[in-house]
Amino acid sequence: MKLIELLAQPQKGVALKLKVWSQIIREARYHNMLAQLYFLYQHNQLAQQLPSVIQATLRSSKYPYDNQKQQLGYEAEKLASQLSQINVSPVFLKGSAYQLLEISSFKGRIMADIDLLIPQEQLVRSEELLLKQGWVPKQVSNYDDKFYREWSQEIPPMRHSQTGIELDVHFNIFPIILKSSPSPEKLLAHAQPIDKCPGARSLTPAAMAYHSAIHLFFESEFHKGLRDLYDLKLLFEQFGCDTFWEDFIQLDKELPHGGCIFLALTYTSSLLGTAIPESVLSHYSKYKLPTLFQKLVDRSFEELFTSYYPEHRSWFHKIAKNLLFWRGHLKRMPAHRLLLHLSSKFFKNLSSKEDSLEELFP
Amino acid sequence: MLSKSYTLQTGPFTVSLESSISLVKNYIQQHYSSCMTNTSDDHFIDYHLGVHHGPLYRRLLAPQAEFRLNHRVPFKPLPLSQAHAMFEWGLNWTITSSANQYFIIHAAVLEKNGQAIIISAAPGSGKSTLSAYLATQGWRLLSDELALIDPVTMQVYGTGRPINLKNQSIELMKNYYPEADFSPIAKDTHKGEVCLLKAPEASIANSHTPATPSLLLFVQYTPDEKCHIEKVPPAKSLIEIISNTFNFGLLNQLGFDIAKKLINNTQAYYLEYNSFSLARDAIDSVMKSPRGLQ
Repeated sequence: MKLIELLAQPQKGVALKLKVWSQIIREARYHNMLAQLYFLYQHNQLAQQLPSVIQATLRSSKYPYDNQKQQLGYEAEKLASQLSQINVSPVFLKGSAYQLLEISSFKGRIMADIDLLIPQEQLVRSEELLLKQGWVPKQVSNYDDKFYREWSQEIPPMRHSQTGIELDVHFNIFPIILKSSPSPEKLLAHAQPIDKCPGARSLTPAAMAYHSAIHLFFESEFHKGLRDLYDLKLLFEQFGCDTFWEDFIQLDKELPHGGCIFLALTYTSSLLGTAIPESVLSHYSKYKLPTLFQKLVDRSFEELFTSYYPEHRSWFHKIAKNLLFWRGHLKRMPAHRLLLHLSSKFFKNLSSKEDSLEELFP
Repeated sequence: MLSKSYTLQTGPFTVSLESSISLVKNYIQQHYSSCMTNTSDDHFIDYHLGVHHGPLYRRLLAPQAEFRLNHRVPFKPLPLSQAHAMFEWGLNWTITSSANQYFIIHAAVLEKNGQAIIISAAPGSGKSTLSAYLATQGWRLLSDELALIDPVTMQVYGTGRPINLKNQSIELMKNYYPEADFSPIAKDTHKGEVCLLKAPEASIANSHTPATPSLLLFVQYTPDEKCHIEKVPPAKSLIEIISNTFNFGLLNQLGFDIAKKLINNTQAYYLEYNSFSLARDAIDSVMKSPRGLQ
């Protein structure tokens, strides 16, 4: 039994043996999703039917979550109000947006950082303000700084000097090195104020799901893959009414990379049992790859989404990981650039102490 | 080296440990022999730990031990000779950072007639040594490190694990315990020399049985004070408890409620001592008089 099966069908957990639950709790801890499992069972009113030791263990994860939620919520509100004083209205993305919007199904979701989208022309003054407020940029080499600012979609991450909270400031949705990268205005047109947090904005539900899907399928590493795919399931299920799906199809005409959306729809449906309207699926099926190629991609993603936990990994795991690693990087950078980047990183690393695949890409 | 796995019942937790290090395997067989549970039963396992050798090239030069929790390595490795102590520290860290179903105080717990004393003190003030001594004097040791309070029943649990003796206390306790109960000494740790003393059989056998907190004791070993005991006002003991609780802030309102209840349900004393027997008598007389010493 894998965690993903319970996320798709929580009622399956009621009849599980304690031995199996031990494995599920282990896997949930590994993915930092124990609090989400706790709230999932609360939400479905199934918690009472679980063995008491499982109830207590699930509940123990609620406290760190509550604590983090309070801390990040406070920090996000402060950021929004400070930035609004210099006429910047940040768009909160991903986890911080789900939390500020108080979407109930996202209860228990642990966040690593706060993600903001700020239009490029407001970036300089926003960075100045953030520095004054105690947000310290991560120390990176000149090369990495250039990598972030000229080729990617965000500036080097910042960390608050007192709270230790991390902040990722994005100025675009896609890496700007890509020719196909649209101006962020197109997505910013789909931003709306967050009622409970003055000065803050989020994307509209359809744009939020669209962005989360793009974000996930532009990744090259999937240690948070299960959590991110589950996010998509929750977004589709929370907002999935007719107008949401109409907007979602409309976005395909405005933004590129519909292929990512096709994958998001396919895998939430096949691996997490999300009901996707037939019309939406058929609209996006034009992005399907040639059969053999699609099969390989599907098999690779399935392996990483369902079996990332070390005890579930199959013989195919390493191959899938490598395939998707290169797929992700080629999506974010044209091949000739990637070669230049890798060779430049290689020679820089010769002189440095630590060297790992992850560090090739900040 | 062959890896062995154990399922250990320690207080309210079931812990699985896998190790390939012979120091750890010998230590477990000696110190945890009565804690092993039958793995064929349908059992819930709280934590999956491992203590293993570091990388091969290190084994030839300066061998290391690595602590693993659920397929991750949360700490830097330590010298191989500290591997058994690393397991104890790692398990403490695991419990204090995730068992938030309990209010977790950094304190020793002992019980007599169902009534528990919770001994809280700064490191190095003689908490473990006093607990080891009291455990030979008719008290049941629940823990020398962690007091786990159940928020609903307000009962206190311990883990019935070996006692952490440091530096001079090791020699001192040889007067009270047989040689075989002392683990090999881990030298040059961040706490100096550390030796793990097997918990008395009665502690282990009843490690899952909680007790009712009745006395909070703040102790200080003082070389030139034989025995001095005095009452601690509730406000002061509340602050002491709060500052010695790992997850007080995390539990938020619930944490404060538990601390308050604990203070209201118990007497609180401050004890300075250099004589074990006088300290024991002082504690006994406080426990006997329902309103405490005047």
